[in-house]
Amino acid sequence: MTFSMEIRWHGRGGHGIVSASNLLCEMAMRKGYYGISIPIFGAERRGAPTKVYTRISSRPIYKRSEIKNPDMVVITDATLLHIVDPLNGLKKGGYVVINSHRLGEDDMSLLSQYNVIPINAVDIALKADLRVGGIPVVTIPLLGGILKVIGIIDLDTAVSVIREKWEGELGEKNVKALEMAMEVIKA
Amino acid sequence: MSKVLYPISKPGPGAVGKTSTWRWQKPVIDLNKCTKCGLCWLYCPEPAFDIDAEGYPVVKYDWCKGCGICYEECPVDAIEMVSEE
Amino acid sequence: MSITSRVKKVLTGNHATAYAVMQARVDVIPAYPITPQTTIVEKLDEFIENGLLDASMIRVESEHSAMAAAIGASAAGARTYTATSSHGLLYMYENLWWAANARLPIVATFVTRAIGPPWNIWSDHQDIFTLRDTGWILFMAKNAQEAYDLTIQAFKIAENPNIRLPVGVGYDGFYTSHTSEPVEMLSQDEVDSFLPDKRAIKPLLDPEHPYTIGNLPDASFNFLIRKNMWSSMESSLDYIRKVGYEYYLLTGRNYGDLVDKYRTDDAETIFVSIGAMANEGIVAVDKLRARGVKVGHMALRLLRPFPTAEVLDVLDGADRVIVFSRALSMGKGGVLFTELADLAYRYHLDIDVYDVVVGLSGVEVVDNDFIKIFRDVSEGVFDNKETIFLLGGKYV
Repeated sequence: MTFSMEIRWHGRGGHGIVSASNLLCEMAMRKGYYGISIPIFGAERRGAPTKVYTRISSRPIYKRSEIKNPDMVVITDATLLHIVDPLNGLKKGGYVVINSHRLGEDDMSLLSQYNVIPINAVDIALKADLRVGGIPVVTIPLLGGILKVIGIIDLDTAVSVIREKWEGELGEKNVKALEMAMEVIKA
Repeated sequence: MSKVLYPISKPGPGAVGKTSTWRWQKPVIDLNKCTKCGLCWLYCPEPAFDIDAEGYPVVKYDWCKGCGICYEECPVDAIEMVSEE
Repeated sequence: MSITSRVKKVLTGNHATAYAVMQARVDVIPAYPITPQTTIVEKLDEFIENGLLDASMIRVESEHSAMAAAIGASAAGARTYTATSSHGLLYMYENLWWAANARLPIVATFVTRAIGPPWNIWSDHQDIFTLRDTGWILFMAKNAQEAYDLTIQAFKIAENPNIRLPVGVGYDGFYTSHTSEPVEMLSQDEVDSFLPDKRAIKPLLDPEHPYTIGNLPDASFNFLIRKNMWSSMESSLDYIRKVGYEYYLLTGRNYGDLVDKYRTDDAETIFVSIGAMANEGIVAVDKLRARGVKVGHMALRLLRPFPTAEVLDVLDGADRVIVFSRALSMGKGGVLFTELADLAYRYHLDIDVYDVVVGLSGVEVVDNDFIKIFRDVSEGVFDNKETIFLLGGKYV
């Protein structure tokens, strides 16, 4: 059976969406899939809105241009909903994996026609003591949500890729954050 | 003949959109403490400060990126950085 | 990590290149940073710092000096590598000619980027095409795997004692340099046995028998120098094929064919492009084929020497070629078009060659651009006498 998924990430400089997208591709590759992670560079400043495209497929991937009609969007900061129109082109019934930390009631109505996976990524990152430069790393908890939806990558594979990327204590904090997120979504 | 297009751009606000969206925290000025020294206006790298008719600084929140330099430079601690939430 | 066995990792084009350079065990890396090249040299610095690569990194004050230092190192017999982009490439320009004329086997990466003003960091091919006539052997990769594979092969080609020409590997800034994708890397042992012994590089400098290099000879000697380079270029094709097939046997990835063919066998229309946009051309071919249209795509992976035999072979049987250039020769046409157009005359081909300019200054080129042009050319909207400009799906 062929599998293919296009994911568009919306974050801010410093959130680490490029690293998270690369990790996702590495994980997919370990399971025999093809993955490509395409960062879009503009103003490379901490806090400025940023974008990354991830394509995962059971067949070789050629396209490395913009994803206009994603199957899933990942949003690291709910305030971006009102700033960069991250839902633009999202397929009907598509998935929205979103950091619920600053997600308001009125935001939820914007998302009503999609499959929303809200994750309190700030809370999870803080509980796992996962911070870089004092800022909670929200992308790893969100990765938990993505893995849950796409279903082709098991936790063991994800954990081993994370441990290779970050050795020692930092790796364990990342693993803990991922596990906590997947646990929350299960409930 | 087509018109000649030169590689020039004119200075003006907002070439990359409202930079306020980059902000996590915003500066808030306590006018009771402010001595109108103008250092916040001078140091702001954007510039995202105006000076009003009475000589008080006014933050232009559409362009302030929340860098906190004004907060750092204010000699009388009249500026506070307040979370956007 | 030192690569003890074959491994597949998700890497950017720049990091894939850095791994290849590390595995080639280069001796000297003079470099100056410029976006989007920077992360190659940063990674190499990290390899040196971690003891994985025993090389001298020379932190020079400009790209002109980077190539000057590379010339010195290579002339002394060191395996030498550098990388640059755009204005950096232009700044080292006169020394790039010097390296070629002095027959120095330097390997360099050219991460393509537009030339200003106005300032721009995104990819087009204007920079690498300024090297077209220098005497550098030039490759253009379409993805990170090709960047890795061609960089390994580049050292072997450059150092062949009958070739002794510098070799450049190009690929698109950001679309390839910063995009991450799976790359299969050879083991260190495999690279060691694939590449020649670097101690066999014959130094140009010879302290035992002093002579000057590049002094003022009579003009006919200079003429013969260039003619000799031409001959080496021409005859290098056979060796580049041989190296490519050897690499094919080792990895299953075919470089011996010199051009990258996709569904060209029975194609009536052939798209031609290079670099990252070739990927979009391939997707367009699949979409058009699904509608029963006989199209194919050819990526010119080797720009110099020009692989005439291979290109003629692909064009055989086709009646239309649409050439997509990401670089423009002002007052003439798309640069890649001019590369192809003379073949129709020299070899009396009954074929229409169309000239399309896309993606200048990093404007994205997508599969639908290829499809739109195909449709409009088929409907006779354009003839092959004009240069067609397509920007964001619209003609300009």
